[in-house]
Amino acid sequence: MKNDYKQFETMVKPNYRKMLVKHPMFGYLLLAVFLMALQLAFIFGDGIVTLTLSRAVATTMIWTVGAMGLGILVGMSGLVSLGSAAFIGLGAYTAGNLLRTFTGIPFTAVLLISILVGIILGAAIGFISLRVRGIYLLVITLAFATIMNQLFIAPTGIVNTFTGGHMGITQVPFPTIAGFLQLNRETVYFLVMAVMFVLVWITLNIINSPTGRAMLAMSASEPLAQAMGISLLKYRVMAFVLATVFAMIAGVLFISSMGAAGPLTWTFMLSLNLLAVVILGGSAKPSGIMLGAFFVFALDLTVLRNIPFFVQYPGAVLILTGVLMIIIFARFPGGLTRLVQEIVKLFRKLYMKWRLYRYGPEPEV
Amino acid sequence: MGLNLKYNMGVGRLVKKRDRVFGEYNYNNRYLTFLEREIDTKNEKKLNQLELASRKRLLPLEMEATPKAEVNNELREQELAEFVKKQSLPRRAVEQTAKRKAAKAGEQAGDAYRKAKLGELDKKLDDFKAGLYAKYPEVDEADASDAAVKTYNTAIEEEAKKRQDLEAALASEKAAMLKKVGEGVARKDVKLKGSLDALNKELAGQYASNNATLDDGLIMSLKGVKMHFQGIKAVDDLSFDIKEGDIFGLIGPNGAGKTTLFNCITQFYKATEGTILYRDRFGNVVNLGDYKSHDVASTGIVRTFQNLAMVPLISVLDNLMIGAHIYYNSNLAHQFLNTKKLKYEEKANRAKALDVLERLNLLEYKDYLPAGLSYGILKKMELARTLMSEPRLIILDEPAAGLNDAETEELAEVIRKIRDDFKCTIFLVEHDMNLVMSVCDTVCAISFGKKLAIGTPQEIQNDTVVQQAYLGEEEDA
Repeated sequence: MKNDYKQFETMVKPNYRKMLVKHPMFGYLLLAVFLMALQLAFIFGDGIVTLTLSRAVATTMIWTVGAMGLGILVGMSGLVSLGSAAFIGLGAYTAGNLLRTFTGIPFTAVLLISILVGIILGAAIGFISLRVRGIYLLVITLAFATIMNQLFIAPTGIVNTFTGGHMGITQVPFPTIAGFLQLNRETVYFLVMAVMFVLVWITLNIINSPTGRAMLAMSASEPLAQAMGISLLKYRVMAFVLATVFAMIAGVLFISSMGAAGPLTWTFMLSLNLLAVVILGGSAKPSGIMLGAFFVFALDLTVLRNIPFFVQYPGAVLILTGVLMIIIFARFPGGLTRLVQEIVKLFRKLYMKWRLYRYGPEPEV
Repeated sequence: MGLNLKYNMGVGRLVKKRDRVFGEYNYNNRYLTFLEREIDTKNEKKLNQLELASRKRLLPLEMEATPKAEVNNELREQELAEFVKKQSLPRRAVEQTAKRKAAKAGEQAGDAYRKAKLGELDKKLDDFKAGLYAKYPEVDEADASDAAVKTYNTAIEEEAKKRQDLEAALASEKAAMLKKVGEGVARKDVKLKGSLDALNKELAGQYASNNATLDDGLIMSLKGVKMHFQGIKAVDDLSFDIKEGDIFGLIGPNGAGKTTLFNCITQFYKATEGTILYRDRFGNVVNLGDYKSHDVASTGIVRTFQNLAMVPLISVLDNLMIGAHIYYNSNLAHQFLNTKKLKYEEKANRAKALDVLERLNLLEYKDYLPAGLSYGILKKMELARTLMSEPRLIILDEPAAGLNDAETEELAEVIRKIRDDFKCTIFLVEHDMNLVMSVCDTVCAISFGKKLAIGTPQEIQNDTVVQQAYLGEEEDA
């Protein structure tokens, strides 16, 4: 009687806990809670979390946004770009000037204007990219980035009033959201976090949408894509537009949280680092990008700088990261995503081994 | 003025609009079956919830109504079984440790350990048993009280009636819903059909100015198609017709220009000269030369590839969904925000993909990544993908390449089945003569871009020109 009832109950009753854990956003929810707790600890807990750590996490989140766009471009469409840093810079200058000139301008307006600029520029590069492949595309984007970088440091003229030349732009006020909520040095962190997680959700949607599949088909085989009615022009342009818009948003977040920015931030090195994030992550999914971004941008400031050896020899950090990168690429071509999967597999295997040792072979049913 | 999608934007837009409406029309047609399945699952859930509630209510009543001795017996047995199950792991651990001890310090040490530990577990079990007998004592009471039985029986009746009521309510609700939605679907159907007709009428004028006519019963006609690559005549003045519903085979020695011809038809190459006329699903005759390669799919022509073309990173099911790409009408905003409209289209297409997979006996592979699957299965998956786009003409480029005899036979079956089930025409290039001769209705032989002969498989086999092309000329003795 009671047994029957129990069996029926387990069969019929929806298991909410399992549904929650299996939800694709669950991991990101946990991460969001953790990141929020980190900043709250920084604001309220006296010195539990240092300023360096809080800043490092915020910056990593900003670069993650830029890298997610690049992930769509590289990981899904099979295209490549070295111009992401330039677009992040452009986004920062656009937003910085807007915030500086129109005091009290709503953050949404700043974001929308930057996105619009991103769409136009991304579409332009997308159209150019249709003619060239592979390494030539890389060179074209590099040329574009170089032009932009030269404009950023223009010493005189109208461009200089926009970018501030070598000095960069300074004294950008923190943005206001929802019309009245004036953010400050500490609370802007939450804005960055919220925007990042919204973009994570959108990226996941794109990956699972027909657009994402079309991009994957395009990168796997162009004749296949065309035979299935997928326009190469449309999806190449779209990939570039997405990458550019994400980069612009990263720039907007950067200037909003830092308040000042100079041309030295948007160098070629940042583009390379972002590309390294995508390749090291090994997946276009936000989880892969986040792993990569943590490794490239945050490992140094959050973990290694707490070890006395690295405090003494700061240069050793780069050497160690480089060596780790080589090991990961040689051992796990799928990047950090693959590495994490392998680790999970290893633990499962170890558990099975321990079980066999402790309890003997499973009895046959 | 010809119809040229590349230059005549007006007509191009009209065609695109028509295709959108057709997509909408397709979804609308499928909506009712889809909705019914959805309602059924929802209703089953509701019934299960009711069942659970009624069982929860009945359980104590049933215990009251059953003789006390029986109830206690059952409860004891059940809890004991649970306890024994709980003890099974520690017991296994004891056995395992005893074995290790025996190997290390001799049999006696192992036995001693086993005896001690198992003794402990046995004692715990005995204690538990004693506790159980205290909790649910053996009683001599023969029967439950009549009142309890009566309440139990009335409760059962009540619950049964409740279930009946709910079933009836759900059934009527479902019928009402289906009727209401069905009316909407019918209305939308008429409306969409109307706008389809209107658009086609508008287009027919444009097509008529093309001066393109096709005889009845033909789906495609090639007239003097030439494809020259800087002096090399890969296809040279080729003309033939394909009947609707045929399985049409194109054969020829290596380098005869078969794949080039395919690429001309699907507009990967633009033919140097000649026209390729095609009757689309609305009865309009179009010149394929006016289309771009990615617009050809929307006319109902899909192709497979000589070397497998699939996306290695996503599952077989998702690979099939790429085939339905042209029927997604939800725009980017819908896709970014994963709205209801997109979810609906995804569900509808997924249901269709599962249906196609089931027909081709591929259902068990739906969640596999293509990388781990055998060549024969992947070939079939490519075929399945073509079926996702409501094809009228399927072009198969060497479907049997790389397959063994058994797989080739199966493929012939599949090709015939597809033709019959999906009412489409099949145009294939093949080297495997067994397949061509067994499956094709009409065969065309070409060599060095020129047509040699066209006819039934039997006629082609007996044709001397074809024999010469394949085997070389007979030397005079």
